[in-house]
Formats: sequence, structure tokens, C-alpha cells
Amino acid sequence: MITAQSLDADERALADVIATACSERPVGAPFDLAAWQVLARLGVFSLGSDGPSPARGLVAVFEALGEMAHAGPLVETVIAMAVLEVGPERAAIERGETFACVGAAPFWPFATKAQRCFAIAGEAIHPAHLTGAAVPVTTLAGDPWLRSAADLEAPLANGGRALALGRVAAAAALVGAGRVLIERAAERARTRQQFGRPIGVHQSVSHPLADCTIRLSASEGLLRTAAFELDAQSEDDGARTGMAFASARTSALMAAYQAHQTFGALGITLEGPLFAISRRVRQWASLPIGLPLLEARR
Amino acid sequence: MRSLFDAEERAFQDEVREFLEDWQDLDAYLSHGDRWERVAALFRAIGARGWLSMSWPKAAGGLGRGPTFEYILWDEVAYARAARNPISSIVARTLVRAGSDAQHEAWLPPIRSGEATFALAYSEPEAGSDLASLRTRAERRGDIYTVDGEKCWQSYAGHVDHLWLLARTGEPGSRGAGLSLFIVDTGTPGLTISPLPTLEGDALYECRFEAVEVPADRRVGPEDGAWGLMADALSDERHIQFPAGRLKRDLVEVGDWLAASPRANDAIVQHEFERLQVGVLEAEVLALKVVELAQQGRDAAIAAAANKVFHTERCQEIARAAFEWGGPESLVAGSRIQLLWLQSLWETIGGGTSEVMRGLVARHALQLP
Repeated sequence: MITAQSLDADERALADVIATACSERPVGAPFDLAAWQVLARLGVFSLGSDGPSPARGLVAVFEALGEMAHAGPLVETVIAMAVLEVGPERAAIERGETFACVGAAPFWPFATKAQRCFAIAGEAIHPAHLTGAAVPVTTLAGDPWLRSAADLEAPLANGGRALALGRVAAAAALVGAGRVLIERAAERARTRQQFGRPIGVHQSVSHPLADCTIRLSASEGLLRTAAFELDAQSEDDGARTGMAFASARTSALMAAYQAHQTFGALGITLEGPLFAISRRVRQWASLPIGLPLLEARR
Repeated sequence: MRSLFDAEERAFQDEVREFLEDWQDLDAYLSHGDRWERVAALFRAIGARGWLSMSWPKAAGGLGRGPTFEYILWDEVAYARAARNPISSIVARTLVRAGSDAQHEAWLPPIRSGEATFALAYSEPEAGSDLASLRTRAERRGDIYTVDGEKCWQSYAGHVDHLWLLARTGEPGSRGAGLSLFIVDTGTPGLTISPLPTLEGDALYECRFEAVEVPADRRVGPEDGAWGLMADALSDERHIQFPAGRLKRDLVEVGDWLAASPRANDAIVQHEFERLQVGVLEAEVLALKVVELAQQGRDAAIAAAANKVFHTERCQEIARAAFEWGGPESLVAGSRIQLLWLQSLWETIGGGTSEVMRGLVARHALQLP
């Protein structure tokens, strides 16, 4: 059996490179261009279209980025790179010099900085042109979006694959962020003393955290398997990436809720150890790349 | 997840599927009821192909194949709703590790062929999750152990020929360090086996030992040395305990039934069904994670605990959803949905409760106190 649920040595090395390069940056720090360009120099934005196993590469890197709750239009850039033709515009995005906006009407992430816009509509991706008055809004995680109407061109032929890669990237980020949330919550449960004992001795605290770990393990396995299948172009790959995203969003949201609950009052403070991650989880979980209705498959 | 299997494994999966065409739906929702004779016949048919000894070393008469093949076999058997893997597998693994040459000769051939059938006799009225507190005593006098005590909640004990008995041979307070394993014939004088009917129409059993004499050569492994042997046997067995096939079949059946019901187009029902689909796929990767670790020779104890919790709770989730969707139809005695729901209640209890499994994950994966 192919051991698809484990990262191989190359994939682990790739994740380590990302983690090391971003180690000085606080987890959940807001967007800044210098940090974005560090990722660009490491080749993060060309991962989805390079090498023999692009989806597996995305998994390794985005799990690491998820652990850092890294800001920026990460998943959107993976999608844009998969639909853009090779040329100067794509190369500038790859170098982190310009952005592509990928959204779903009426919201357009990082549109003020973007030269090109793409709209996700169901399972299709369309080139989009914003029309009328655009209103700037700031999101839960502090990202700059525009609220605007848009005209859409005909859908692009490679939109399905781009969305599949986007789902892999988003699922990996959610799994990575979920893991960090549960690690922090477990540390809290081990060390926070009440009534003379660590709160983690209570099953009402420890068992929900165990459930989160189990769920995240399932999501991680499903994600890594889906990425393997996407790279191998096996029959079920499209459905699998949808299920992997659905699984990861459920697990990460559950982890976020349980981490907040475990931390008590500290967990709901703005400067506390969770919100910078949990708000990013909520934002990744809300990406408009969700699951189509599925047929039961054996 | 057939895409993860290599060509030889896929060919084996096809062979198993073809073999199982004659054994479909033998054991509804893996609850034996009065179908035991057919289940026993299936074990003999599987044994005749050498598949009951698939992972045994060749020197012990096995095929020496890896854990993936065993997983494929029992996953397909579960999907066919034919049976769970037999208890004899645990006995065989312990015999291979710790049995004498004479015990190998006496017991491995009938286990390999499926002729010898076993039930576990571990739990007691006061020793369920805490097995190390068990009280059933085996006292040695010469070449005979005399066993006294009471076992409870045994699956299959009323059907099989032998019990795989865990009894105290050490001092009363010796916990896990004073336990030994024995093979006891179910027809031995002084042993009374009584059914405890269960909600779905099957039964658990209680086994009362009153001065039951067991020859000393029926003890497997050293006296007082059972604890480590049980852990080793369990470790060898984890990858086949909760294969995803059962859940996949549950979901397909519920999906077929739903498609024919007036609620098929209800958006809430569709959303819930979609969630169940994702849950079954998640359960499958957790089961395959255990296989992956076994294949790599790594410890799978915590992954197996996680798989057990997740698998059995998805099983119950499917059953509950189907019962809800069925409305009053689910209440009609004997309906398939009702049987599924009733049977699923056992899943989070038998083989280690969810509470114990979660505790393992919390302590070992999260280092919680």
C-alpha cells in the first residue's frame, strides 16, 4: 500500500524550509509585503504548477503556513497561478510583486492591490471586471477586500483543476492551524491549575481535545490522500479534494471552538494566544470553494 | 481508496470480492443471531484458501503476507456484511509468539482451517474496562488448573468450541502481573454458559466456572505472563479490527433507501447525507492510517484508539440519521433501519469503550494528565 498519509522526506524538508524562513514572524501576524515576498522567493506560489507532485507539495507547505496562520491571499494565489497563462503577468505574481484577486461576488480580496480578478462561481472560474462603485471593507482577519459588482467573462477551461488545488491548499492550511490550536489548548490543560490540579485531569476538558485530535488526524489523512490522487489523476480526485476541504474546515472550526473553551477568559482576549489563529481559520473555512453534492462511492 | 493499493493488492481485492459473492449479507450488521452456522462455514471457506493464516510467518504455516492484505480481506468481508474477523486470530498470534511446539502442532492447523472457533473470556461483572482487576482464579495442582469464577459479556461464547480464558494465577492484588491465558473447551464439566439476549436479537454470554479442570498444557505462555502477550497480540491485530467496509455498506444502503423515499429531495437531508459521506471517508483514512503504521512496523496503539472512536461514532451517526429520516417506518419491528440503529448502540462499548479510547488519545497524543 502506498503510504500516502505520511509526508516523505522531501515533503518534510519543504515544510521545514517554510517554517524556518517564517520563524521570526509572530503566529497570526497581519499581512506585510516583505513576508509575502519571502514566500515568493521560496517558490510557494509556483508550487501548484511545478514538479511531478504539485498537490503534495502544496500540502507540505500549506500545513506549515497554516501552523503560522500566515496572512495574505495564499489560497487565492494558488488558484490564480493555476488559471493564468505563462507570461509577464503570471511571473510578477510568482515573484510576489503583484497580486491576483480571486473572489466571489460581491467580495474581492486584496482587489486594490491586484491587477487581475477572477470570480469563482460554483465549479467554474471566470475572468472578472469590477463595475460600479467599489467599497473597501476589512475582514475578520484584517484583510483588505472590496465590495463591488462585477462582469464575468466566459469560464476558463482549467478552472476545475485550479479549484481542486485551491481546496488542497485551504484544507492543508486549516489542518495546520487546527493542530496549533489544539497543541496550545493541550498545553493550557496541562499547566492551568484549578482546585489544586491541572484542568486536563477532567475528562470534560481532555476528551473534547482528544476528539479534536482524532478529527484533525482524519482530515490530515484525507487531505494527503486526496493530494496524492490529484497528482496521480485518479478517477475520484475532484470529489476527494472537495471532501478533504469539507473535512478540514469542520475539524479546524471544532478545534478553534474547543481551544477557546479550554483557555477560558484568556481565550477571548484580543491579545490572547488564540484569536490570531482562530480568526484566520474562520476566514479560510469561509473560502467560496466548497463542496458540490456528492454521490456515494465505494 | 483502491488507488492506494498496488497491483498485487488490487488483484487480491478482486479475488476476495469474487469469493464473497456467495456470502453476501450473511450476518446483518455484523450481529450473528441465529446465523452462526453460516458464519462458521464462511470461516472454514476462508481458511481453506489459507486466508486465516495470511499474516502468520511461513514457518508457522502462514502465507507471510503483509498487513494490507489482511486489511483488504476483512474490509471486504465487512462490506459484504458477512462477518467480523474471528477471535481465533488473536489466539493464533499468541500461540505463534509464545506457544510450545506441541501447542503449535495441536492448535495452529485447526485455527488455520477455520475448524477451531474461540470466544474471548476476559471481562467480568466487576472487571470491564479495568481488566487487571479480574478475579476468576486458576489454581494449579500438579498438571491441572482448577478454575473458579464468573465471566460476563462474552460475544460468541454460546456458539464456539473453545474459550480464550484470562484468569488470575498470581496473588489477589497482583493486577496485570498475575494473569495467565488458557484454552478451555466450552463443553468442560463445571463450565456453564448462559445467554444474555441483546437488543438487536443477538446475545452476549456469561460463563460461570465452578471447579473447572483445565490441563496445564492448555496454558499458553508463562504463568502470570499474560499481560504482555495480550498487548502483543492486540498490537498485531489492530489493523483489522475496524475496517471501513462496514460503514461504507451502511452508507450505501441508507443512500439507496433514502433515494426511494419522499425525503430524497429535502435540502437538509441532502446536506446531512453529504456530511455522513465525508465522515465515512474520514473513517476510512483513519483505518488505513493504522494499516500504514503496521506496514511500517510502527506502534499503532493510539491511531487504533482514534480509529475505534471515530469509526464507531460514525456508525451510530449513520444509524441515527437513517432512523430520523425513516419517521414512523423506522419503528416497525424488524425493519432494517431499526436493526441498524439497535446494533450500532453496541459499537461504542464492545472492544473498548469510547471513554477509554479517548483517554488513551488524550494521555498519549496530547500528554494530558
